[in-house]
Amino acid sequence: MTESSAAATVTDLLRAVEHGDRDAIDALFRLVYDELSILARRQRRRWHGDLTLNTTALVHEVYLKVADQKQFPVESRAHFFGVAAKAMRHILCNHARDRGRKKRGGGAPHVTLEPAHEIAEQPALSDEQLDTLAALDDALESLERIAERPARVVECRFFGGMDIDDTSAALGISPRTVKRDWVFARAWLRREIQLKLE
Amino acid sequence: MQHSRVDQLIVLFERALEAPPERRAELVCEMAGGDGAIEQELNSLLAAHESAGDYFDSLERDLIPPASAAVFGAGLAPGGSASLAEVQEALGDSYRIVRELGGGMSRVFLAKDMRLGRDVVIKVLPADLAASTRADRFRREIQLAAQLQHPHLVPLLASDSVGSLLYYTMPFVAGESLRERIARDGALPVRDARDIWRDVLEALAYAHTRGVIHRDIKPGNILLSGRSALVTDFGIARAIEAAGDDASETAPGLTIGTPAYMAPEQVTGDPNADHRVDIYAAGLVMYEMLGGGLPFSGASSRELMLARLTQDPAPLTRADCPSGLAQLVGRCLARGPHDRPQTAEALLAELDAISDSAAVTDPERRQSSLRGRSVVALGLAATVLLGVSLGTWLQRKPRERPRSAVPAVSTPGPSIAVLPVVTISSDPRDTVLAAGLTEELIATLSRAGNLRVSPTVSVSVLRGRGLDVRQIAESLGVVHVLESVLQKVGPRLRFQVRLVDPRDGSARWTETYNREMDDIFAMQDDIARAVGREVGARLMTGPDGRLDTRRYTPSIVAYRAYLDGMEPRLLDTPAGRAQAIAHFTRAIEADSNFAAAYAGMSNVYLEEAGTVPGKQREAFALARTWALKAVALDDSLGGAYAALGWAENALRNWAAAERALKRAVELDPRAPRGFEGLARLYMLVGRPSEQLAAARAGEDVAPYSVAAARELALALSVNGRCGEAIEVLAPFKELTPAEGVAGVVRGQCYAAMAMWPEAIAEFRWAVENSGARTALAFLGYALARGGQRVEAERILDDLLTGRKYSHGAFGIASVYMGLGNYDAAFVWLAKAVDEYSVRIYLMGPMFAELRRDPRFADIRRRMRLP
Repeated sequence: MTESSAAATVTDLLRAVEHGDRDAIDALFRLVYDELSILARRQRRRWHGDLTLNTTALVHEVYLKVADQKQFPVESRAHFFGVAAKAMRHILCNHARDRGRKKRGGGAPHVTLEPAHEIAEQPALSDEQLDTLAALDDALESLERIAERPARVVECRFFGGMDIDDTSAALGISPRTVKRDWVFARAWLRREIQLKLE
Repeated sequence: MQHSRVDQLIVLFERALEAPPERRAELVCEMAGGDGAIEQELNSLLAAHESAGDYFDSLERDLIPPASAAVFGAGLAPGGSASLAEVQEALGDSYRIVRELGGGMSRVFLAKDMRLGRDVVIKVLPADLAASTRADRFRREIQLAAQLQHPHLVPLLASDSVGSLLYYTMPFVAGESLRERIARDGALPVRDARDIWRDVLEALAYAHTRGVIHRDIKPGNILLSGRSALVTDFGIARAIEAAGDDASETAPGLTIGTPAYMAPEQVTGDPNADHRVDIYAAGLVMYEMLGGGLPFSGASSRELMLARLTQDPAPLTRADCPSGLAQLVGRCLARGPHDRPQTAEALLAELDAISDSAAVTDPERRQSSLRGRSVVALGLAATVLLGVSLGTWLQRKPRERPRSAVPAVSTPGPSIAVLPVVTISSDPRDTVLAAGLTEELIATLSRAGNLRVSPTVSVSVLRGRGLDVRQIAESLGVVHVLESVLQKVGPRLRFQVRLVDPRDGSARWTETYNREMDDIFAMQDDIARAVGREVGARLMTGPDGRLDTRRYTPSIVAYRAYLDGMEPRLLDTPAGRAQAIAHFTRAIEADSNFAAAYAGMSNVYLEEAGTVPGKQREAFALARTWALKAVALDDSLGGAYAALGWAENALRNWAAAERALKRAVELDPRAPRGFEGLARLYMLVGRPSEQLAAARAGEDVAPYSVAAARELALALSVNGRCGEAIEVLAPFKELTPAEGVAGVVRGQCYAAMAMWPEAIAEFRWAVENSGARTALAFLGYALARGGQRVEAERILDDLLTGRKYSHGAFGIASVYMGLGNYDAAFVWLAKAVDEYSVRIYLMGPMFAELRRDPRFADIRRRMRLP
């Protein structure tokens, strides 16, 4: 996909997303996922001085690449990041599950997204780290069932690195609500993870 | 739980947290109102909340990055996890590591070079970066960077690879980095910031002319040692990128750098990004020095990166920072590279200009500065001035310019005034040649990095007043004076130059050049080099070691024709202008790429346009065409842009004019024409404070020039300071066409102050100098207002019947205005707009009442004024 066609697609998708089109969300999700993968390979070649790699950085990078910023109003940008945050969460947590499953051997796989490009691996995560990630993912899923909005806030803020205003725009809620949900969700998840890991 | 219960829970949870800890349990009980499930839920959440914050912080810090590294395979652990001992072992006996100095992504060590016995800094590249970098290529690239030698640059010594380690070395410089200084002190004093910035910009100017872009300018890469600032890591980013393993896979352009200091075009990976990214970064550094922080907000590096694509930088609001400086820094931070100062060189010149004018606001100096002197009881003073006879005025000493009289602290470095070359020759064309040689010498010396050269116009005016060397040097505030004598016999030249000590007129250095005419360019180079050496100037040399003179043409025939055409007096008469056109035509025939000749042609047509009734617009359009051609041939020629700017101005293309004039000023900050053009533009579009700033800048650059003084006076008058305007023009009472225009402006100021006798006197005086074309009409105006209607009506009659000409319809409108016949005035003003005979004075104080009339709105519209 060329950059300009990627930009056009993202614009269309985001428009659809804003209209609540679930298929568009999935399509955008895949697109972002693919872009993140491509990004990963390039990352290795660069030298960023003080920059430490983190998910926020990657998401912004994808945005810079595929988004036609002149056309993007703030809301669309926020939506994009909201979707990207979700993609990021799934990427990380699914990886943890796959790794964990491979270690433990067998078991029904979760729905995993096949990356469009092969991603070479680097230092593996420890068992403890894998378990924590999985627990986090589970806890988030549980939270989603009870209170979807706070779970989305966590995705945005934690996995997407979005600030309060961006989260507010992405989810269409007030910043006050974002703050409230965030505080609540963290406590809720903490409790849940503690229960799981003990 | 249902959603509404959850929302309720969330709200209650928040409320509980708002209460002090000892109150909480009680509050929860209250809020639960007997519902045990809610009470328990809240309490357990509160308990979890205690550790939730820290827990998630630790997850974000310690879990997410490795997880994303695991998934994306892109970990950048600094220097690998090699211990200091391991590094030492790898380096072997050549270096003894003293200690680790810390650093960003590379590991930095202080070590002793055992072979040379001196302290060096070793920077070790991170392991995986090293892995993907071809060591041999990296070494080669480092060698290129190692050729940079400059007092404000930390040189690279060597690069090598040992085992899996890839490193490079540089001399150890004692001192802290700018990053540390800012972290410790916050914002710096303006003087310190300026000094540091100056050093950095000099290093950049040096490196850029050698084709090396830094790409990672930031406080961490600027060392403060003693009284100097030094830039480190020059060329490293490039070396790494160039030596990268899979070059095709890297994003194109200059993506290497530190996100917080990347220029927008670096962020977006624009392949056309060039040295201007360093200008941007330098602007950020200065901003940080002055403001204590960066102008963009963003929680993470990437957010900062994104911010500069979409946010405008917050302006510097520091009280003791000169607004010119803040503006200059702001321009460095323009999103588009073309809107920034285009070279570090140009930026330095502007910085120096600001430093100079800042000195004027020194309270001590202000007392002796004529400009700053408050003119008490304007009317009274002006009357007193006029009471003195003209003769006395002519004998008055040139207005002192305290700024230059005392070489100010903020104008360091050598300075020189080049006196007009004197000829001993029978051929009048040799006078022209001499003038050209003077001009060339001034131009070449002006391009030295650290030399302040007085412009031609200033020197010739002072010379014309009969001042001696010492007085000239004092007035212009220069340390050196260059005298030269030209003898020409046939094709042979004998050129003698003398560097004179202005204090006693003795010759400090002298040299004679005997050359053929064909060799004239080489001779000019040699002279410039020799003079540069003697005065300690750093002349720019091109990559082949030759002097960077930008002479514009290799053809001597074209050059001489060009010089002939540039004789200033040719512009004053129609015959002269025709001659100038002929000269420039010859120049262009001899060298069709001679951009400066096209610019010269443009200026002639511009001047021509003002005089030929009915043909103004055509002439302006022609001027524009010539200027566009000049720009197309050489877009580094400030004079071309200046010509274009004036033409666009005349054609009422305001935005284009501003662009061209700003570019002219950037390219050639020591030439007044661009500033004068901007002053005119701002006067027309109604931006009085910018007009004044531009006029001042022009006057600073060309002191004693009547053109610059005229613009300054106009700007002052527009800003309501008519008394000062008159003072600025007071010295110009020569009966020459050029100075005659000064009378027109003075007259208008008097008219604005309703001092009719004085206005009439000035306009009459100006009329006697036929160069002031509007003078007659304005005289009519002043006579009418001053009660001498009969004579005014006679002038009107002359103009209407065509017996006399004073700016066509515009002049007629002016007289009608004076007679109070606004209906007729507007009719003729509209005609003036159509025939392009409107003069700039329309926006000046004399026409203020006319502008207040509602009918003026139509005039504005026709002129496309904002």
